[in-house]
Amino acid sequence: MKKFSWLLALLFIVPSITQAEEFLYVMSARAKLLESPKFGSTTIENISKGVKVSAVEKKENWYKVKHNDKTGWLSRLSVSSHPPIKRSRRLAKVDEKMKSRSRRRASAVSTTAAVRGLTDINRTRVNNQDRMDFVALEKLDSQVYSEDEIFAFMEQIKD
Amino acid sequence: MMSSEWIRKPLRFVPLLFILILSTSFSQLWAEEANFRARAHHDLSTVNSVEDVEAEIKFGKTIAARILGQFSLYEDKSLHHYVNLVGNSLAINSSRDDIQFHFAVLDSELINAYSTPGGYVFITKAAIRAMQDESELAAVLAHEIAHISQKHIVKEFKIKGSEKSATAGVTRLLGSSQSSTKVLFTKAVDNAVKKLLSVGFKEIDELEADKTALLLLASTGYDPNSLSRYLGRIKKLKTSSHGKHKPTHPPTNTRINTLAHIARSEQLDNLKFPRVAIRFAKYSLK
Repeated sequence: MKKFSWLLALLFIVPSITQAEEFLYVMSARAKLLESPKFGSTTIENISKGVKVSAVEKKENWYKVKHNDKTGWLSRLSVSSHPPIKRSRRLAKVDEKMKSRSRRRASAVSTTAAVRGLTDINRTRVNNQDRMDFVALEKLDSQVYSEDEIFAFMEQIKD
Repeated sequence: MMSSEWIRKPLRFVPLLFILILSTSFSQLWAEEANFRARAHHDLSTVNSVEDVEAEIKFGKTIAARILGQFSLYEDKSLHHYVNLVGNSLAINSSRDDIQFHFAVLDSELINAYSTPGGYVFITKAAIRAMQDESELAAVLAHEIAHISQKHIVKEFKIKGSEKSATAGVTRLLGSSQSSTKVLFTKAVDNAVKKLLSVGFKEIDELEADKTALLLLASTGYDPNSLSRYLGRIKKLKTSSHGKHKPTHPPTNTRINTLAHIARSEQLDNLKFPRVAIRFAKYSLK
């Protein structure tokens, strides 16, 4: 009976010790690990993107986490329950498909407008509503800023 | 019999007592931990697979191209550069590292800003003209980034990379030669454009975007009160110049009151953050 009781006790204790921890992944480029869950609190250290931390508590918009030997608070905006996903490399090819599809669609709109007997003014309105400007979109896509330039800019956020 | 044994050999029951105490305390701990995990998962469940992100980007690109079909880009390279640096400073502190953010100024006299899934954020030159400092520009961009990071459009239109629902499988829809699938995709884009340009987001989404924006501003180092300041100013401007303009956002007072409540609960109201008026003045519009 005594041995059985101790065995039962062990059965309760062992799973609790081996219980899986909750892990979070840092998504921000530099997440501030703060001493307490509020802005303006002392920064313990900056944690880099992709680092896995162990979460122990949640308070409103903050997570209490363990990182190496330190415990502190991270904003919910800077973490995710999934590791970061690499940015896709396959999208350029799709852009070509999208462009050709939009050209076909513009042509279809013009044909429909002609069939419906729309005047030139009305036809322009229909075309404007459906018009896609991929040249302007490519212009936006071509503008990419380095993290170094962004961090240098951020350092000047002061009065 | 049990009671007599208890009296004769009380030590025999120590392990049972131990189990009882442990099971009570551990069940509480497990309940708390399960609750914590559930809340964490609920809050952080916006990240999906690579296919989902690709579908989001493709859908967003098409909507962005449609917006650019209706508005011209404002031709000012240095202003675009500046707006992109402010926007990317915020984006780098958001949880959406899986997408590249792009910011653009539209040549429009309407005071407004728009964002599409996949990271495209548009702000009109009239909206910038109504601003007084960089923190106000950051506030509007942060609100738009929040719509993207919280995936408001993606969730509403069920944009997925793999599921076989109406608008899901954007990759398939774009690559498909079947006209029925093209019609589905085009319809989803039409509805999303209509939502962005005239109907507006649901009130709950707008207020969530405000809340996230406020936290994003503080995380980046900008004055989080800038959003309330700007909303108050444009309310007056829109009332005087666009009295019959259809509102695409909840009442300004509701938004300002909600923001004040969040600022108090986050203990932000007593902190001093920069507004960065001098740098902004170099780029201000006439």
